[in-house]
Formats: sequence, structure tokens, C-alpha cells
Amino acid sequence: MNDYQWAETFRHCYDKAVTLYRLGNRKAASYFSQEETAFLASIGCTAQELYDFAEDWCRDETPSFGTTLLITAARRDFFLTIQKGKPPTGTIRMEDLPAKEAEIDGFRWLPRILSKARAKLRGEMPSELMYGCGGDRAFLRKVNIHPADFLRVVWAAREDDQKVIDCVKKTAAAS
Amino acid sequence: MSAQTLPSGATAQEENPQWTVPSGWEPGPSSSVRRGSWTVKGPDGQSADVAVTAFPGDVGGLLANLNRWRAQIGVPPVTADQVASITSNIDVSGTSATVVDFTADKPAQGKTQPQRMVVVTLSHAGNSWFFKMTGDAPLIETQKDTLLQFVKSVKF
Repeated sequence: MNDYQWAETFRHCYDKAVTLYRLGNRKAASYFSQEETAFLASIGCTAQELYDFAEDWCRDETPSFGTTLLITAARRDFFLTIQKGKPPTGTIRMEDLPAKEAEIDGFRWLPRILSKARAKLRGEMPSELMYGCGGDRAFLRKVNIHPADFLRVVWAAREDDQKVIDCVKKTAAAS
Repeated sequence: MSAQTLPSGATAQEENPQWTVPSGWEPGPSSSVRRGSWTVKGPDGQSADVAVTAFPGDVGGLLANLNRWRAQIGVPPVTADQVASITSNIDVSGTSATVVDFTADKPAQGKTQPQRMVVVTLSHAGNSWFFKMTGDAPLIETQKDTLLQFVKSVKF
């Protein structure tokens, strides 16, 4: 495993995903070779997660590769430093998440994205859920926090929801 | 690391309360969203899932969540003026908690039994807590009292 080159290897996988999506392949599980899948696993990423980023780029030209890389880097850092490279045993259940309409302190979507961010950091995303989806991007754009930065804010806050809420309030007020 | 400054003096997320887990409840799938998770097995392959979750604020309020839960097992939504007639209350650790209980008319695809859901929800220290049991209706019929006793054992 060449850790020095991980970002370049990730770029290769990303470009492959974009190409396959544009060719009409919609089966994320078929996208990558054994070696590529093992590489993605080594950085805490799944084929489905990369597929979702490629799909949104092909359809909406967002998020950019740069944002995709930064989000993946945040997850990779958490995976390697906190989880010591050990993947979780399962994923969260969609029905456990707060509703999209839920709000806190006037910020609709914040309860949901807070739970999603924690799940993303921990590698607990089910296949039908994407961190950095259109809803996430709309919320984060509104409060002026980059999707990767939000992951790191959530990480730094540990289990303290109020820290995240206060950070969002401060950033939104300044924007 | 982000350029945002995290405020000092912020209060920590509310810790898990103490509770007494009923015998027969096996540890269930854990995740960052669940504060507690158990699986209950019944006869003839029946099962139920018990999840404890907590979120800041009211996460949309009772009516919105009630209809979201009802949709999860294929039960039609209710209106605001119907809520009082389909909810009850119990005391949990000195706090009034709302109990909702509903059953689907028929089994969902892939299920042999209609699904039933019982949820106890309460507010504490600015957070909304949800104690939710979902699964095969005949099993939940035998487990509802156990769920309520579990929730009543909660001590914040």
C-alpha cells in the first residue's frame, strides 16, 4: 500500500467511476477490481460512496473532485487515527435518522446532517444514503461551511451537539 | 482542520441515562445514531427491533414524527386533531412521556406478519428521546408491557 500516493490512486478510482457512469453502468459493485476495492477499503471508502460522488458530478457537475477528495480525506483520517483502520460492523438504519424537516434553533436539516456526518466519519453509511448529497450541499452552502470542514467540526466536537450547533450559528451569522 | 472557531463553554451532549435491560433482549446492531439497540426473538422466527435514539431539539415535533413512523410500516398518516386520541402518557424519571402504538393492516413485502410499532418519546435537557420497538405484531403484543417497564426504568 503506497500511502504517499493515496490521493493519486483515489483520483484514478474516481475517474474510472465517472467514466463508467457516463457509459451507463449503474452497478456500483461492478465498478472496481479487487485491488481497487482493497485500496478503497484501506482508506475507509466504499464503491457505493465513490459511485454517488461520480453520479452527482455527471448529473449536476457537483461536488467537484476537490470536494470529494477532501470529504474522503476527512473520513480516511478518522478511519486511520480513531478507528485504527478497523471498519465498523454495520451501518446506520435510515429510519433512525431525524427527518429532513427536523430543525434546531431555526436550522432545518441540521439534526439530520449532524447524524449523517457522524455516520460518515465512522463508515456507517448505508448504500441508500450519501453524505454530501444535494440536501447536504444546499444546507452547508447556506451556512457557509465546506462539507469536509463540517465533518471535521463534528469530529472535533466529539459527542457535543451543542458545539456543532453553535459553530453553525456563528458561521451562518458571519456569512 | 476547519477555520471555524469552536465556542468554549458549550454543554456536552446528554449522556445515556441508566436503564434496566429486560431479560431476553439481545444486543442489537449498534451505530453512532443509536444510544441503545436490542433484538427480541419470538416464536416462529418472529423478531422485533428496539432502538433508543436522542437528538437535540424537537426534531420536527410529535405529529411529523408520528406520521413518519407510521409511513415506515405502511400505516396511513393522521391529522393534528387525531393525535390526542391515539396517544397516551406515562411517567418516566419524573417526566411525562408520550406513547404511540400502531399496527399495519397486512404484512409488508417479505414479511409473514403485519408490522407493529410502539414508540415512547420524551423531552429531557433540551433533547428528544425515542424508545422504539418495531417488529412482528404478535411478538410485540407480548412485549409491549416489557418495553414500557424498560422505559420506566430509565433514570436520567
